Amino acid sequence: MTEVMNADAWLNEHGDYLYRFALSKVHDDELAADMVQEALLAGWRGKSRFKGDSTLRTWLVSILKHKIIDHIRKDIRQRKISDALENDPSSQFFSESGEWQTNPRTWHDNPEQCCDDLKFRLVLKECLSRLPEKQRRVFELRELADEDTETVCKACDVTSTNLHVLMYRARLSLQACLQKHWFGGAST
Amino acid sequence: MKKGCDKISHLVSDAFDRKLSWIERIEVKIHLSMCSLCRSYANNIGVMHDIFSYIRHSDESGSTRLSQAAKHKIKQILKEECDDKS
Repeated sequence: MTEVMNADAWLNEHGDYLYRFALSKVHDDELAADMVQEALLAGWRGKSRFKGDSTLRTWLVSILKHKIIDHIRKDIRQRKISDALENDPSSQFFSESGEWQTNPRTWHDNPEQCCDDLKFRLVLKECLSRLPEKQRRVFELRELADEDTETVCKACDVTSTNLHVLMYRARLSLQACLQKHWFGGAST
Repeated sequence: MKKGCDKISHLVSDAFDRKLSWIERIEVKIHLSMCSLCRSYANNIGVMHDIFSYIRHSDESGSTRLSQAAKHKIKQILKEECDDKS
């Protein structure tokens, strides 16, 4: 009985925090909750390995991180998301001689104010969802989850050169999409 | 100075993910000093980067909580695990 209570205490004390952490990485309520569940369960099963060198929360977060990366890796493998299928958009952004097709215009907006605007968040979400899947995964892990490049390469099964190309393509597309739909008109 | 914007924009993006070599850095610097379009692009992807880090921090420190349903489900699963052991 005390064991059950302890497991409950883990959930009560750290559940919401772990959930927010997971959510900041995966941006999907249901998936984030599943990840918390797996991490708590794994933590509980392996609690003898918790040595108390770090706080319980830090230890649980490290388990959660692994679970999230693992999930993404499996998902990408299972669905055989291939970047070969994702066409190269650079021809759409540059002429043959390497000139911009649609001129970027300097955004002067304050990032924080943008983020607090729900309409902007919707536009951003839409622009992200238009990216080819592997590009989006890599980009989100890197920019939203702030994982280092090595972790992202492992999780998504790409080389570092590959990662740079995917990040570049994602940035080009997002820049163009946000410019068109938020930062001012479609005129060039 | 519009030729080579494709190459420079790639390097500007790379700089967020790896350390550029000194030759690359000079190449970027010279190009940006002459090309307002690439300067705009570099500014914009910097703004994008700031936007994502702001979102990340507000997500992490926000007040979002696990739903009661999710909590209940996790509770059940932990309970089963404890029951199995005993």
